[in-house]
Amino acid sequence: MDASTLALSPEMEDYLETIAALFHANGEARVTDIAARLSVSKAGVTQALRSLAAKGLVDYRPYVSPTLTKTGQHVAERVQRRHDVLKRFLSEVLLVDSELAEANACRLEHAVDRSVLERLAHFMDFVQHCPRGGSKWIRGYEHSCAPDQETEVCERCMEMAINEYRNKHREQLTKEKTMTLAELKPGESGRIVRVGSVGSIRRRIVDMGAVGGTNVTVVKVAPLGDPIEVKIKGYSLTLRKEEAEAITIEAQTSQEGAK
Amino acid sequence: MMARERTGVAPGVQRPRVTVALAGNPNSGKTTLFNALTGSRQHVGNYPGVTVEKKEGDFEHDGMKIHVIDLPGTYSLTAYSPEELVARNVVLNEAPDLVVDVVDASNLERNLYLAVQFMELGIPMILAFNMSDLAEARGHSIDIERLSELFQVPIIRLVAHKGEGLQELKQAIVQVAEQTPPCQPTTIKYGRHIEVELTKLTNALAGSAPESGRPTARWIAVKLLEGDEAVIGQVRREARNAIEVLQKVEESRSQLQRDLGDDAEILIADRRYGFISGACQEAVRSTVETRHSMSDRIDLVLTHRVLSIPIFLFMMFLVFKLTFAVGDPFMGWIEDFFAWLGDAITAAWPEGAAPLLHSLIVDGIIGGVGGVVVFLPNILLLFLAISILEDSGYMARAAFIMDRFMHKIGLHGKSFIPMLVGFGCTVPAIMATRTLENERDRLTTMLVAPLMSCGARLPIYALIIPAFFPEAWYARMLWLIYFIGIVLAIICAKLLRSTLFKGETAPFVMELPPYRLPTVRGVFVHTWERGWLYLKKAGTLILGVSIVVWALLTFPQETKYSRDYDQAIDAVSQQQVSAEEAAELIAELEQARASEELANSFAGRIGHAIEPLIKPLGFDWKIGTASIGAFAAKEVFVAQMGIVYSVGEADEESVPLRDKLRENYSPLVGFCIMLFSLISAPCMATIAVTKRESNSWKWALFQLGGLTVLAYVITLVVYQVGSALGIGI
Repeated sequence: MDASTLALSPEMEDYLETIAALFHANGEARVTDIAARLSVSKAGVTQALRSLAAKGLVDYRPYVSPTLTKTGQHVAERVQRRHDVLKRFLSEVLLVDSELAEANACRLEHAVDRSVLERLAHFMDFVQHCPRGGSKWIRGYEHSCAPDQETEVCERCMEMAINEYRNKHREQLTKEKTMTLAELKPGESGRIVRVGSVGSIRRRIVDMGAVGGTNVTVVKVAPLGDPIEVKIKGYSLTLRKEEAEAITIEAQTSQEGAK
Repeated sequence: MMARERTGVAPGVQRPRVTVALAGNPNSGKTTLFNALTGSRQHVGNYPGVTVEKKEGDFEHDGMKIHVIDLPGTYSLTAYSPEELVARNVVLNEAPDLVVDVVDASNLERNLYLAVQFMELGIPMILAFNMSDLAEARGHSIDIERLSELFQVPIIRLVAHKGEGLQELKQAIVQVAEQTPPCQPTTIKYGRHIEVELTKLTNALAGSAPESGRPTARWIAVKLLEGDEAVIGQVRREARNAIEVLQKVEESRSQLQRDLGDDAEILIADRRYGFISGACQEAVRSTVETRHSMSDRIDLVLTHRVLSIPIFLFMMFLVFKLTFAVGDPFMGWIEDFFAWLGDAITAAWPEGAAPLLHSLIVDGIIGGVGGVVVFLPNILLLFLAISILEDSGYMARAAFIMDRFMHKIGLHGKSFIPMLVGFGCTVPAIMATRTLENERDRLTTMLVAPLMSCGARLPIYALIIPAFFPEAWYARMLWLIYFIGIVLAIICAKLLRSTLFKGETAPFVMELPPYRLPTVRGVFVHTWERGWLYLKKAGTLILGVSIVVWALLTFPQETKYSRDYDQAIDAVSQQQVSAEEAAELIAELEQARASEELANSFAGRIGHAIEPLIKPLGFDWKIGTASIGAFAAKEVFVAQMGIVYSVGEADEESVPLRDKLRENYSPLVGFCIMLFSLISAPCMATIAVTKRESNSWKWALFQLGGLTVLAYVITLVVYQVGSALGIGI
């Protein structure tokens, strides 16, 4: 039987959802617990379970805790996902308070068609990841929701967005062009993209002025092959190759290098 | 820039004393400025618990008494190195009235990075732009007024080694100290994302920050975001809502990681440099293209691919020669002087009166003081050389050249000098470890330096090798002993690094400062300081221990002689023999008596007591006793052996002593004696200096114990294996 073709009443969907949740939490879904969760009588639960069992969604025998059949699990999952998507949309995009979002999701989930739901999920994804919008866009919206807020200066916001997009774009572009400082030969220069490695060495390197965007030129390699000497911010710094390997740089184009 | 009006104070009117903390990057000329400000009124000590030195001094200006604390030279104020921690703790705990940050104006951006961090501590400060002349010569024209405005901090132009700008600086100190309310440097803005998180944290910290306003809640917040261990620890201990605050910190850090894609501490460092860059773009004009400076041209030779190592070795040869070849005659004179002094006192001493006091003065005190002062020429000369190497900028190059090799064996490029000097004398070698910035490197070098066979052990080898080995082997045996020392030093260094001093290898990230001509004054002040510290701190300790060793060798006084020597000597003088023969007989009797006295002394008794322990090494109580004496100074071993074998005053050339040794011991034992002398507990002067330089008894005693155990184990193995295989018995 195809789970999607099943027409279920909202109540029945709630039952499936609850059984799944209880099963997940406790390893079994006792009639008493189901009754307590849904605030109905135990007799009511028994009746509903019989009806679900008849539809092949639940395995139910008296005095044994009910379990979901395979089909029942599919339906429950679908209901759960619908709930999650709605709740996330309400809380993360519309920025509705989370309790309110939960309550509304419970009510909305039974009324939304599957195709609409899928669009909603996709839209949410788009909003959160589009370079023009993203989490920033939502934060802007949050700002505008707050009472007595001046209107955000759009120009500045646009500028930031463009910068960010460019940075992301450049990161992607330079990914192929980047190398580590250790790979540069004496006389060659580059611009620092990122200082990797962990712990105090990283901090130390940055403290010495090797911050992103700084130009660095390799002056020479020590006679025994390690450490290297670099010029940075107008002074000479020496570091071991293993340390230089942690510094990602963007090699300067030959034109700049020639200068 | 600050208003330059002078507050009219009548001469002679006393103003309150103010405290100034002097900060700055290494090589910024901070020490030169400190010397220029305070002259000879300096005091050197140690910060508790760390090997960082604390220098203080005083001067007066316009009737104001000004106390200067010279902070350790650092590039930043993180909690990663003890120096940086000390620098900021002084500002936080000792509450100086203001900070004077010395900035190398020819290397502005990196130097301002430290300045910016001091500004964040919220303390009034003055920036002293040192080497302004050099900056101008390099074509940087700095708009000081503009910078001063941007930082909201007075800036004074300085050429410290020429004394230019000194008066202005003193005047500015007085003015800033008297300003009410105290002037506040500008606050750096870290950009919206970080500021949002900072506001959250400062709000959470409200009420937990100290009332004195130092550090400010904002500073604590910045440090928490940076993940600063020391501040996190302090908040955990002191803040009421510590758990909540630290939770918020974690949230903020991960928020920033999500928003800006990097660790908060890196972002913060980035913004600081950004702020400085911005300020410099506004206020600094570079008119000349950066061209090869003088320094670069010198470096073409000194760090040349091929030439650099021979040059380095030659430099080291010079340092060694200067320290020991030039120092030796002085040492000889000092020894002669103290010997003469002892003889003079003996001559003037009323015969037979208070022999114990006589022995204490001549052998204990004069011997002890002589034992302290005798190292002084070496120490002064070595530090003369080291000061020149450091101040000129060559020391950093030496580390650059040698680091690959030294790093392989678990040490730092700069460990080379201490290890080399160790072949001459361990005492100055350990003092030379001060050039190492990292504490772990410093302690490792300090602990293994005694394994470099020092000059004082040479007499022992010189005595033993000819006693047991054929002439053709002399050189080979000597090489072997030195070689064993070096190999052991390397193994021990490796071992220490992988056990006690485990953890991240210290980064080698280091500045290669431009070459500079060292100033005569700077070099001499530094040299003198080392010598004086040695006399004061290590010297007193050495003197104390030498009196203890004297006591061990002298007491108890009542010896049960095997015969009545006085009577025997009297008997000799009554015999009908020539004067020569009589003298010889008496000398023999005296020697036998001395030998018995030593056997009976505490040292002798300890020697007897430990005999079962050292038996497996092939040693008897005589060697044990002589080894105890050798703790005073290694070469004493030879003289002690002379006494226990009743051959009179023996030196390493003594043929009778060699004969005695050959009669009593096998070549294997002879080799074991050398091995044990090489490895075992260095002399007390070494221990005293290690105590002084590591600022802790723990390391000094660890060195003493560790090396003795190592010597024991190795000698044991060599003797037992040698005996089993029948080698050299």
